[in-house]
Amino acid sequence: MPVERSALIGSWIRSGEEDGPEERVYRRPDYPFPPARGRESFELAEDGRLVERGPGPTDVPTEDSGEWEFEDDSLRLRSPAGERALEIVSAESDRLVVRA
Amino acid sequence: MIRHEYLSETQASYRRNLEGVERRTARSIASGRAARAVSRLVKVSVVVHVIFRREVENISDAQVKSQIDVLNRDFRAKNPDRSQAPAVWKSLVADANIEFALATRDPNGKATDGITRTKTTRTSFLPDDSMKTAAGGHAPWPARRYLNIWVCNLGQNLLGYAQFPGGPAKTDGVVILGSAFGTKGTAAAPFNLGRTATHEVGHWLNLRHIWADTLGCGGSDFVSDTPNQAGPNTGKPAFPHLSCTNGPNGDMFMNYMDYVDDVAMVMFTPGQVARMNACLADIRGGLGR
Repeated sequence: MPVERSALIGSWIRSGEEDGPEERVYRRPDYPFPPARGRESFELAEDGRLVERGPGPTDVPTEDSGEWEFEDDSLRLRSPAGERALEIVSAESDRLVVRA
Repeated sequence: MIRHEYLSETQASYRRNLEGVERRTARSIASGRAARAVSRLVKVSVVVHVIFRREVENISDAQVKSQIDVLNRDFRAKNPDRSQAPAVWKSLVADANIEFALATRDPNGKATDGITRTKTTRTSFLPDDSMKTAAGGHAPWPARRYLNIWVCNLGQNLLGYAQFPGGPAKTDGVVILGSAFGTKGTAAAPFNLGRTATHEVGHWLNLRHIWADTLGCGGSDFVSDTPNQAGPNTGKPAFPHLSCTNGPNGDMFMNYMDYVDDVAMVMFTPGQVARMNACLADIRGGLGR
């Protein structure tokens, strides 16, 4: 089933404990995440703005702002942290899966 | 992911200090000063500030001591699980020659057990140093003489965070979530072997994450004997785990400065030991004397 852009809007936090060999899993902030040394996350706004968060050099979470686009099942994230493309495998309301 | 230093974003003076720390570290390693430092045992005086609201957060003396024991094993390469290091890296398991002891004298010279206990009204703390003030937490003992460790209910599901050398004295030290501290009491798997403090004290002694905090393969942890690595590893990876064309051995995920579970991290390298001792010979030269 093709992924709708609207299904991607909002915050996604890496749920590495659920990763498969070929897949990375993200969950919504209300998911009961266990403690971790740090988690990568991103927030996709309707108007194309992006906020990326992740562990900093001393484990304090830090964030960068940028833009995002969605085209051909590929989510493109651009911020001072760099540019990357995530190939979407599936996007449910509470679970986003991308190709590792 | 590449990430900005929290403090360097907010304090230009701290950013300049960090650059100065790197120059001094490089000089100290090149001149042999770091090597001379590692040849003698350094004993670091530790104060543990337990900040609690609920009684269960007021961890026992035994739990605190179990953490000091872990630091003493890990920084002396006496941890029995160092045998997990893959054969190709066994020769890189390095003794930092650093020991830790709970302080026996407080800043005023009075006898102490090296543990402070402070009741707070805060249900949890953000990683914003608020536990390091008398308002809600406990102010540090002088950072030139003590390693300050705060144990509290750290929020955002974080296990701990640190401050590099060269930062403000009033926030110097490391912060650890109570359930990730030590090996007893409230310590909970998979972070119940005391390795969060080993990792954070590594940062406090100027070690970087082994993946160099960069998105991809372009960064460096300023250590030549750790392989280039794309990003953090988590859980209990299987050897080898390849990234950044670092085959055949791949990532050194069993290094204390990766993000794996406590049971999966077992070693520092000689390059990391040199950086820590450069720090102890210079920026943190007041410790252990």
